Amino acid sequence: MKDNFKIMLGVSVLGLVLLGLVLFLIGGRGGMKSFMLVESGLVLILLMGFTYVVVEKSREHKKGLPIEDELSKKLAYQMGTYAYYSAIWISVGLIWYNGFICDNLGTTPLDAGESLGVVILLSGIIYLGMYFILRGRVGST
Amino acid sequence: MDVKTRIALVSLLTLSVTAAMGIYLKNAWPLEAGEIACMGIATMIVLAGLAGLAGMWNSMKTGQPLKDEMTTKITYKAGYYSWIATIYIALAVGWVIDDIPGMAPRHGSTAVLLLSALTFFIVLGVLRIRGDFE
Repeated sequence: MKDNFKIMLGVSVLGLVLLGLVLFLIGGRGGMKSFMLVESGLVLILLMGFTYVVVEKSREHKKGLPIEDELSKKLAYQMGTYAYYSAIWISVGLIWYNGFICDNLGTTPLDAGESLGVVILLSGIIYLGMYFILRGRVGST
Repeated sequence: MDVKTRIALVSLLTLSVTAAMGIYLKNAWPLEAGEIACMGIATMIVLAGLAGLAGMWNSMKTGQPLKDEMTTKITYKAGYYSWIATIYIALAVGWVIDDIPGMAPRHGSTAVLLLSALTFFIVLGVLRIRGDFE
C-alpha cells in the first residue's frame, strides 16, 4: 500500500511538472529569453530521467520487489551528497560568473531566478546521473 | 592525502576566507542588514572549519583514522538532507531576495551558498551528536 502510494505520488508529481512546463512554454511563447529555453530543456531532461526511474520502480513493484530497501537508501544518500557538492560548486561558479566574468567580459549577469534555477536543475541532473552511474556499478558487482 | 597535508589545506582555506572577510569588512563598512547576515553566516562557516581542524589535529595526535564506515555514512546522510534543504533554500531565496535591503538579484547564489553550507554543518553536527547513520 505504501509502495503503491509512492508510485502514485511520483506519477502525480511528474504529471504536474509536465503540465507546468507545457503551460510555461505556451505562456512564454514569443517573449521568451533564450536562457529560459535552456532551463526548459534542463527540466525536460529531468522529467524524462525521472519518468524512466518511476517506470522502472513500478515494474519492480509489479514483480513483488520493494521500492525502497537498505541499499537503495544508501545509494540515495550518496547521490544526494554528490548533488549537494555540485550545488555548492555551481553556486561558486555563478558567483564568479555574475561578478568577475560579467564585469570583465561585459556579458549579462543572471538574475536571481535564473541563477537559482541553474543551481536546482543542474544539481538535479547530477543526482539523476549519479543514480544511473551508481546503479550500474551495483549491477556490475 | 595524509592528515598533515589535509590540516595545511584546511588551515590555508580558513585563513584565506578570514582574510577575504576582513578585506570585505574594511571596504564595505558600514554594513547593511543583508551583508551583516552574510558575514554572520561566513563567520559560522569559518568556526566550523576551525572545529574540523581541531578534529584533524586530535586525530593526528591520537593516531585514530580520520574517516571510517560510520563517519562516511553520516557525511552521506548529511549531504543528502542538505541537498534537499538547498533546493528549498534556493526557492525561498528567489522568493524573498527582492524584499531584503542591500541584496541585488546577483547575490542570490551567494546567499544559497552560505545558507546551504551552514545547513550542512548543522545537519552534520546533529547527526554526529546523535550517532545517527542508518
